[in-house]
Amino acid sequence: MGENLPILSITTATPVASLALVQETLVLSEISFGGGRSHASHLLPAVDFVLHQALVEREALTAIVVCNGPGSFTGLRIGLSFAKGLAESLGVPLILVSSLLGLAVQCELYAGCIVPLLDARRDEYYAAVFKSDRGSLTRLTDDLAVKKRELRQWLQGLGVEECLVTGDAADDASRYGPYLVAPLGVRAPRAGVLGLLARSLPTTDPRHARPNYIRSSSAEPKKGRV
Amino acid sequence: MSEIILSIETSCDETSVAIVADGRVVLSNVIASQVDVHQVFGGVVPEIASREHLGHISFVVDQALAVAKLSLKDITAVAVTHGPGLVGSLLVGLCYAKGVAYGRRLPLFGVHHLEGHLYANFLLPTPPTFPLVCLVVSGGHTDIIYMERHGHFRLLGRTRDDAAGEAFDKIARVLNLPYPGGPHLERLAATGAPTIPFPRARLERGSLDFSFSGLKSAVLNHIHNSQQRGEELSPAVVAASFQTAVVAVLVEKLIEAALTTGVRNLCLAGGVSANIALRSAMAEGAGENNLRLFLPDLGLCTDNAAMIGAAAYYRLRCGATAGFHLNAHAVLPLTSWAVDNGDNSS
Ligand SMILES: [Zn+2]
Repeated sequence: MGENLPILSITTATPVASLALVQETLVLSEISFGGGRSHASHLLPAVDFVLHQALVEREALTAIVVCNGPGSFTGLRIGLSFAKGLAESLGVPLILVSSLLGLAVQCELYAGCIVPLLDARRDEYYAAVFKSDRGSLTRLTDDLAVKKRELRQWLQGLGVEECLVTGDAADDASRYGPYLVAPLGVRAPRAGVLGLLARSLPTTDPRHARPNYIRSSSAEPKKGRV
Repeated sequence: MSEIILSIETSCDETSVAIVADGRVVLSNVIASQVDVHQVFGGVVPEIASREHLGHISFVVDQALAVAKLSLKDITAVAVTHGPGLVGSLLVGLCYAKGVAYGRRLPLFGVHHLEGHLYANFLLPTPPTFPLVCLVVSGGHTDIIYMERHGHFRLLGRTRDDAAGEAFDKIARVLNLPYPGGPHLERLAATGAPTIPFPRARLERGSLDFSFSGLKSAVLNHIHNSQQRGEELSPAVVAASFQTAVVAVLVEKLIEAALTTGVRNLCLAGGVSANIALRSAMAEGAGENNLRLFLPDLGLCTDNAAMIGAAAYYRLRCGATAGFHLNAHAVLPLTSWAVDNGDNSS
C-alpha cells in the first residue's frame, strides 16, 4: 500500500454519531455529536468539518468506512445511504464495520472477555462477546440480540462468568451479574477507532452494502399508512 | 447552458430516480415499486419501505443513468423530496442525494412532494401559464393551490378530514377490492351506473375546503342497510355512485376556485389525477366555463422523480439551493420559495 490514503469514517448507529478522517495509522480529525434525533441534518456539515480540519479534499478519499450495525435502524440507514451516495459519486469502495466490534476495540487493553451492549429496545440488548489477550482481540459470537433478563444465562452458556461490559447499555447490564463496567470515556462509538480498523477489513461495493439489522422487519410494529 | 438534474423521490413505497434536462426533457424516469412487498399487509409498512429503498436506491440511480446514457459526471444538480411522507423512507433518498451532491460538488435542492406533483404539469409539451389554480389530489392530500408565478404557492382549500384518495382506498377495502384499492375501485366503477344519490359535502358558502367523511359514512351505511334487508348489493353501482359523488365535488370546487380568483388556467396533479372519470369530468367543467385545463401525463400523476426534477429546475434558476443541514420531514407545509417582489398577494 502507498501512503497518504485518507479514509472517511462514519457511525450513526447510536444517539451519539461520530465522524473521522483517518490516514493510515493516524486519526487526523474526529467529531462526535448527539443530543437529538437529527443525524440526517448534522451528518453532512460534520463530514465537511472533519475534511476541512484534516486539510483533505473529498476527491482524495480512497474509501469510506461506515458502521452497518447493529443499532438504530433509522440511524444505520442515514449513515449507509449517505455513504453509498458519496462513495458512488467518488468511485471509492465502502468498508463496513460492526458497531460492537468498534466498542470492543476501545477496551482491548482489558485482559479477558469484553461484552459491548447497545440498547435494542423491547427489553433487549444488541450484544457480542470478544476475548482480549494482551491487545489481540478474538470474536467469540456474532452480533445478536439478547433478552435483558437472559443476559447472564446467555453468557454462562458461553462459559463467561466475569467480563467487562461496555456500550451505552453497560450500566444497565451490570445489574445482571458480577460485571466490570468500562470507563465512561470509552463507552460511546468513535469513528476514529472504526477508521483505524479499516485496513484489516474487506471492501464492499457500495451498491450492495446493507445494514446488519439483526431483527427482521416483520418483527416491527405495523403502523402502515397508505 | 444545459442543466441536467438527477432527482430522487422516496417519500412512500416507490423508489424513483429521474434525469431531467432544463426542467423540460425527461431523459429517464425509473420507478421501482414495492407494491408486491406491501400487498400482503394491505398497506405500506414503514420499516419495510425504508429497508427496500436502501436496498434499491443505487441500482435505480444506475438504471436512470443508463437509460439517459449519462454518467454521474454529466449531472449538474441533485434534487430530492424532503417531505411530507414516511420519514424513514424520505431519509434514504435525502441522505443518498446529499452524498452524491457533496461528492460531486453539485448544488442540492430539497423539493416539497406536492410541489413536485404540481410541476408534473410543467413537463407537458405546452406547459401552463400563470396565474393558475391546481387541484392536488392523492392518498394524502386534497388541496387547491393558487400559483401566481414559479415558487409561489397559496393554499385556497384543503380537505378537513380524509383525502380523496384515502376515501377511495377505504371504500375499496369495504368492497373487498385488492390493495391498492383506488385503481381497482376506478375499474369497478367503470362497469356500473352511478344510480345511488350519495351526498355531496358542501361546506359553508365560499369555502373551498373539502370533506369526505360524510360521504364515506353514507356509503358504509348504504352497504350495511342493504345487507340488513338482505338485498342484493351491486359493488359496481356502489363504486360508480361513490366515484361520481367525489368527482362532482372536486370539479365543482376547482372551477369555483378559478372563478373566484379570476384565473383561467386549471391544473390537476397527484395520484388521483390519473382517474379517468375525474379527468373527463374536469375537462367538461373547464370547457363549459371557458377555462384551460392541463392534465399531466398518466405516468407522471403517481409518485415519480421526474416531477421532482422539473420542480427543482425553477429553484435552480432562482438559486434556491438547500444547505448542508437539509432534513426530511413527515409533515411539511408547502411554502413559497420565490423571492417576494413586493406585492401583497400572498
Ligand atoms: Zn404523491
